[in-house]
Amino acid sequence: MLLAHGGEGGAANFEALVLAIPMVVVGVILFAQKAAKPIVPVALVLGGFAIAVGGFTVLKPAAVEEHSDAEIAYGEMVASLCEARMVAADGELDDAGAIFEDDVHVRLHDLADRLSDDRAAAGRLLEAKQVVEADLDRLVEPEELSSDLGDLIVATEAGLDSLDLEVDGCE
Amino acid sequence: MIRRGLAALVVTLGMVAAACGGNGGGNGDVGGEGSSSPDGELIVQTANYDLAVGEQSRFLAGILTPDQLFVSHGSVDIEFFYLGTREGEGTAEEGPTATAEFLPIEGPPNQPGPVAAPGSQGRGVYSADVTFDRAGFWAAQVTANLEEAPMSGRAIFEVYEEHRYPAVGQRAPRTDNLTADSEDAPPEAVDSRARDGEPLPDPELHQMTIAESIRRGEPALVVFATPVYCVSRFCGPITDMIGELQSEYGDRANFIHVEVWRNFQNTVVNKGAADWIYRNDDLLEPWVYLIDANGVIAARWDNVATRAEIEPLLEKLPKNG
Repeated sequence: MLLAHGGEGGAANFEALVLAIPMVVVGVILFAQKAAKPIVPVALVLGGFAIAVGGFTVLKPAAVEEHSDAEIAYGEMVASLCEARMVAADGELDDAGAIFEDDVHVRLHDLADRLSDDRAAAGRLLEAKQVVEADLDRLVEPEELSSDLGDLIVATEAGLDSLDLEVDGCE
Repeated sequence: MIRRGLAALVVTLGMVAAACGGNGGGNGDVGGEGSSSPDGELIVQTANYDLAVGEQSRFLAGILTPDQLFVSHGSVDIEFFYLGTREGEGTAEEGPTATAEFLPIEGPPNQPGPVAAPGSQGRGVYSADVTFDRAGFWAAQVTANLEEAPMSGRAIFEVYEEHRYPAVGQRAPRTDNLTADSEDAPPEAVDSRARDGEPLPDPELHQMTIAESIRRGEPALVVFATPVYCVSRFCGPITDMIGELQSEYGDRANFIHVEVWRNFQNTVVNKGAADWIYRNDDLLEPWVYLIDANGVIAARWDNVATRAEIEPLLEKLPKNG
């Protein structure tokens, strides 16, 4: 999982610095020139420090989780598998087949290719995929296709786990 | 056109070379380095396994748009450029040009195009007969006149001095591949679909060895494929297609399916497959070979084989029955 700082938090930090630095500078100048009561430059310097520190603590951005390109792509694939299973359960086998062919098939091949170091996971994935393809060829009962798509989802998630790729499952 | 293509190629050669590993051309892996093409160009992936110098070869390219739609149907234009013997170095030199026709792997037959469409509306590759005059690295600059706007992309691939795999005109290896009667192998080693107690599919493709067919002086159409464990994105129902051809042309040739894996998970390759398709730690499948009655390889198809390409050759064979 990649961790990155988000843009809005970074902007808050920058704005805090823009405000804090002049406050400290002006405070130091006023103190050096004794142009005002001592309380004023002291307050400016302390206020500037407070804003600067606050900008990087109170306003510190939470670490924003970003998914890698692969996680985004495989996340879409898993979502499509989930949709295909739902559509199949409703008896729309052609629609389930189209979703599988358009949004799943190629990415499953890519995933299996990536699993070259985990042949067991790759094997289970490809076996589950072949069962679904055979179902679609034979136009099986909706329950059977839906069940086999469920097995494929399980095998897919196991393969993604093996690659340390974090993807949301079916809702 | 060629000049413009050459200039574009020279400018972006370094970028493409960095994005494309090995001789596979523009890799279309999900989330991989090659999943996005430079400047939204087409993703072009060469699908050949064994291109060699000096003879007409069937060049194959799979093409996707940057948003992973298949470019399908119709034809595309290809300009080839010779890049030299070292990958990522040298100056591009103009080579042959070709118009490549769509070869559907699955879905409807070739239609007017090209179009960018999801896989269910046509998945396949573009094919052109090309002769490469030098060994080394080549680039294929592909232009597809899509309805929305023309798009182009390129792939880099290698042409070898000699074929690495059994080739047309060579004597076919006398292989004792597994058959339905092989008692020393589990059913899934004969066909990967015959696992978990499933019956052996297409039993008519598992009756004879290649060696026996050659000994009898009979032609054979042999498919080396693993229906379950194929990882190529161009995988299609090639074994099913060979089975269909067997039902129509079984009186003209022996039809044989050689399963690739004896045990996929333990990476054990069937010897009958290794004799043909395993070279220098490279196992590439699927392949289809036509062996003539004299035991000589008459034709071969790497990666993608279609009924339209094979059937005319079968029709020329005499009926034996």
